[in-house]
Amino acid sequence: MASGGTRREAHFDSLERQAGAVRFGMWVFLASEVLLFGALFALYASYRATWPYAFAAGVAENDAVLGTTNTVLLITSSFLVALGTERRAHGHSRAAARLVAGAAAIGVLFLVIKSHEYLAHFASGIFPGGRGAHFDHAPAGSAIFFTLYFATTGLHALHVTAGIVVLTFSAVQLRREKLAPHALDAVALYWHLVDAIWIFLWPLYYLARG
Amino acid sequence: MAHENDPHDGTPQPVATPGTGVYVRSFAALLVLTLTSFTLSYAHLGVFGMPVALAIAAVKVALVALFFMRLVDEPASHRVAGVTAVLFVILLASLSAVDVLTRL
Repeated sequence: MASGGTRREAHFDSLERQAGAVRFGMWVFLASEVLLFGALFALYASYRATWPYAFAAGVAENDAVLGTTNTVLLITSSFLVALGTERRAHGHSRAAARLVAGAAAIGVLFLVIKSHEYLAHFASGIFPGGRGAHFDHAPAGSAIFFTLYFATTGLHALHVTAGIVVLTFSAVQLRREKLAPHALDAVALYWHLVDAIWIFLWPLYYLARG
Repeated sequence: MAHENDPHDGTPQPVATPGTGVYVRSFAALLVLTLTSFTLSYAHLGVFGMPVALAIAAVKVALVALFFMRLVDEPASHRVAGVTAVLFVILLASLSAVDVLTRL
């Protein structure tokens, strides 16, 4: 039974209280992340109401199959992390390490597909800021759509990148049996939020063609 | 100063988790909802397309939050942080859209 990494700091009177504080701190951090993306969702709502046809046309330019593939990937990755926390909670650090490493690998796959999409856009003359040949004859609002698309999915991709780094570090620490259950819980909460944000980005940027 | 398994703490006990079954069922539901949303996006639902897609997304995020993130087992103080943020985002996004749509 591996209990490595489970340390009680002096200012907590029990491990349970310490784990609760970690989770609460993480929830507050995640709430701030939700508000950060919330501003971008508000911009989407406002601009879509202003240019509904340009936004619908912009969504139609995106590859729904690739977007859906990425959705399935992130959900699967999130599932593996959840299973990892389950394994770690029961003392199986090495099994948890494999699951968390698998989740990180899927995160990399997500970024590969996202990069492929960006490159396809660039090849079609679609760049952030309304630059590129695509916008010479595009309807008004098209530049706004794609700028918002690059900003929002780019910010999300940065979060995925950070998540991959933290998941990889966690997998190494789990492998060495030096990561406490509550530490993995905090990492898992972050990764689930990255998944949850994409779950909303996906219909807005890949499905809402009408 | 930190302690490792001192007598005051006792041996670390397994953390309460929902169990593998809950995770598997949630994952299966998320995949089914994803497929449903993808299929419906080609069904020409017109003005209902966006609300339906967002409603399905909301259900999926609820599944992730409640079971993967274990919000269902969290104390009220933790739930308040998450729920407040989501409510503020809904308020911000909906009022932004309403502002544009009601301008003369």
